[in-house]
Amino acid sequence: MSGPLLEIRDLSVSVARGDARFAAVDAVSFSVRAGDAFGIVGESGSGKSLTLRAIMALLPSAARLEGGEVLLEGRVLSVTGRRARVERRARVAMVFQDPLSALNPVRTIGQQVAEVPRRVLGRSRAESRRRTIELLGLVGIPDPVRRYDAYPHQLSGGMRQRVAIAMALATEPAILLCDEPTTALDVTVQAQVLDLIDKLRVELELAVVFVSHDLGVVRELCENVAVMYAGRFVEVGPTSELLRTPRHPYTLGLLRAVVDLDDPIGFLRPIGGTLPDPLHLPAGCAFHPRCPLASPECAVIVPPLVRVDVPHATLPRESACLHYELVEAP
Amino acid sequence: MSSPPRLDADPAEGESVGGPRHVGFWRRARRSPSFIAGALITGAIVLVAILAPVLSPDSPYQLNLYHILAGFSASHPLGTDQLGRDVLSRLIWAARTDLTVGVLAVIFPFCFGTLIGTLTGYFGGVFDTIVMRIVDVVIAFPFYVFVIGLVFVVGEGTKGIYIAFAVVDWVVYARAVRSTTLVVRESDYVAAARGGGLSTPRVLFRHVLPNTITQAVVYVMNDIVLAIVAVVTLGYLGLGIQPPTPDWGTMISDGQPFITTHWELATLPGIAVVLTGLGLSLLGDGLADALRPPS
Amino acid sequence: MTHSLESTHPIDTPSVLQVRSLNVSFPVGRRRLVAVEDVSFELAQGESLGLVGESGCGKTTVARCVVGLQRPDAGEVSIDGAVVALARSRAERRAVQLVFQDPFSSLNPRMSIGAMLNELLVSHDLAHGARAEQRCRELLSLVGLPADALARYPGSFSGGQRQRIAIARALAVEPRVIVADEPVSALDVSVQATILELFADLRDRLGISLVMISHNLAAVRHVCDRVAVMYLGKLVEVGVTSDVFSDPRHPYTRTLLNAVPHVRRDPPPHRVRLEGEPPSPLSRPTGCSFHPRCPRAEARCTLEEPELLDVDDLRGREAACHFRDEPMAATLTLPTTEPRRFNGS
Repeated sequence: MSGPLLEIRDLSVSVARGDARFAAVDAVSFSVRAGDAFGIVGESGSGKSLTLRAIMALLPSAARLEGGEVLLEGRVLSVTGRRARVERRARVAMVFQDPLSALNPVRTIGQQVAEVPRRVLGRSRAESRRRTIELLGLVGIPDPVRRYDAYPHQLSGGMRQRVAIAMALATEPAILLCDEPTTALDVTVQAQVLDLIDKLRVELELAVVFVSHDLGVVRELCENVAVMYAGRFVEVGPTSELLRTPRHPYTLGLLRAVVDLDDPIGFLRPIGGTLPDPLHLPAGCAFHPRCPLASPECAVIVPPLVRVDVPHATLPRESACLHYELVEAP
Repeated sequence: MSSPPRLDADPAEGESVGGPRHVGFWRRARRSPSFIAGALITGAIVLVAILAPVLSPDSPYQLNLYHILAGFSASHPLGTDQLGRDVLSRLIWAARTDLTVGVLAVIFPFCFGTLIGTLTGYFGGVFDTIVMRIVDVVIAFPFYVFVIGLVFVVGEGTKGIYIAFAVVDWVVYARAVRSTTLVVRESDYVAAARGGGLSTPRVLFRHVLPNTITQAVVYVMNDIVLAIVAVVTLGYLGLGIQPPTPDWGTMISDGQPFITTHWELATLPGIAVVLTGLGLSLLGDGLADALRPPS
Repeated sequence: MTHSLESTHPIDTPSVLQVRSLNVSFPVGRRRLVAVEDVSFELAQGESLGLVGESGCGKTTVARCVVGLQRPDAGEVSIDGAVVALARSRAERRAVQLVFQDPFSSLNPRMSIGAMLNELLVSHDLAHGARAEQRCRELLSLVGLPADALARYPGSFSGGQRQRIAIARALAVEPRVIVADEPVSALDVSVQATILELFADLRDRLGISLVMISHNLAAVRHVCDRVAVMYLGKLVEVGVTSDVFSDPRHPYTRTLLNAVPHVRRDPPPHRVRLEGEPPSPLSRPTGCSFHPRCPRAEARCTLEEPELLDVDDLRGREAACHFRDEPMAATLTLPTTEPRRFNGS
């Protein structure tokens, strides 16, 4: 399969707050091929979770799709209603942040996972059970036959997340959307779950879209990454190159503001200013009030996300900054 | 381990979004339709009760045996009752009577119940167990049976109602406040207050109580309605407020024999009770909205 | 106390905080869950100690014992050499203050910032009236907040700001030790740095003694002079932070470090991974409680529980492992991760 499996074009989502509506996701575009992992990194309010939900046609009631297309293997998918659900069934699956609320506490994990092949794929009861045990083993749950009858509260957080992943895989999707699935987990468990997702990506040739606030996690897992700020992609490119030589001041700011294990002490430089209120975004570039490189044009022009060149870089990079070439090394 | 959701970044130093202290309560109150409607209705009725001497066209006690059971007329807009007294005047003065009794009856249960609820919720232990068993017994008791029995002991009139409410009504407050106290007791800010070396009474009154009392305050509104209904019911039964003091309950029972010919005698006081109840309930609802913490 | 923990400070200052043989357990049904087992450590004046571990390791319980919000079954806490009783006096409570994890529930929503700070100052007779208000302003400026915050309520502040307020509250009573329980884990990534900087700043400027509980090793490295690693209620390694992180002498520390994702460099191709999940504290393994998951475990580990002892050639380091004297790099072999494979590479 040569073309992209999942393609997003100009996706826009608005959200209502009180009487006003604001653009929470603004013309976001990207594509992912089978077997690849694409990361979306951003802080709270950046719109990254809503992007995933829009792709999955799971927007909350206050949110509304304003435009754009979701293409699966080149075909446009519906974005709302029953048709949307049917088209995504057995093609796209999602894993959420909190495994405890993703699982029904009064049913065993086996029942919950088995329900998917039974109801969604129409398999027989015996076949569903067999498939469930297979999936539980695939996601690394020890002794799956016995664990089939366990309830969610009897499992640890990491186990529950594995079950959630098994449920997502039960539909045999081609695309796996992950919304901060490891944020609530201990670091060693997080490492295991990331290894698992990576293994599944390779073995099942899944296209993975991974949303996180954690640059390190995205660096672990994703070949390509998009940095999101105030609803827009501000930089897109191959992960290790992007993090080594950023071409947007926000990316640089994030790199300098996060605490890393190998940093020399005294390295931290927090980004000044505050995240903008989405109802009152600054004119021009949304980042300009906090940007050390800002010039008068930045307050007027909204920089488009365009291809930029990067010294010593092999793969394409996009940045939404007028002064991208001035961005320092982290 | 679960981490709380991510939050937004800091405003820069020097930035402030200042405001007056109680911006929370009044702004929320203004935006709550229940609060506005409730305040208007209740306010109107309270105003009527306060201004009774001014608003009432005649004395409620003035008999006029030559003009009994007159229908609506210019001099008596709502007619006269079986003793020739002006119905409108009696309605207005009855508002004063019934509202007063309603409010006075709930004061002790509110205060006592809240106190007991706070203490049992915060300290627990044997005290809590004993008190909660008492609460269970009292709640199970049928209220009107108790009140009627009490009235036969202490005599008719408002005394019986006040005592009955004092004995029985506090338990609802105690239970409600206790359950919120149990939750608030475990919160980090209470732990911080204790850890900061503040004395227990201070922790209770400044940190626990303000965060637990909301439910009780909202319930007070509904409780006043219940008290008024109790007064009215007792009045209807002849066991409450005694004539000639005007009271909606006695007006209803007095008007009952004439319901086919002069419906207004029994119905109008009934409407007054309903309206008062409506106003207080809406106000209670609105208070629930408005009493959330300031932000 | 069978051993003493040396601090890194050259001057032989007395310990401001001493925890000895702390044991805490909770009833669970008919059994008892041992949350903390025989934990001892010292904190010198002006020092910062990080207490790290994953969920269920007991670090929060230790913090609560130190602050006086939890009664231990056994063991004692001493402040400036004096043992504090289980029921603390107000002066004793003042000496150790806690900064909580969740900035959204650690401030009374119905109390203005000024009222909250003022109450503490007046209550402990530290300042009154105009002097108190002046002090409140000073406290706010110490944590980087403007004076007009005094009239406002917690609801109008962001998470990072609330955490600053919580720190100001802790400082208000002039404590000897501040215990911060996961102070930044509930905050946005770019805000975490500002709070950690604040802690580092307060440590440098005011010389506050700090115990920081965290699962975030990078944060601990930034703020804490020394680190103590906990697993299933026990201390498994203690030492100078940068030394422990560069040369861990307990396999758990090593795997913990391996698991932290790196931002500024690519992940190394082969890393040691921990298998399985932490066992339930209700059913502890025999011998060393880490042995079922330990890449280095031998038969001895299932029988003999290792004690927290000094490491031979490293000053100030202790580890609870039979192989504490071996540098880790030489010994661990499996299981490891495989390098990531992408379509293009």
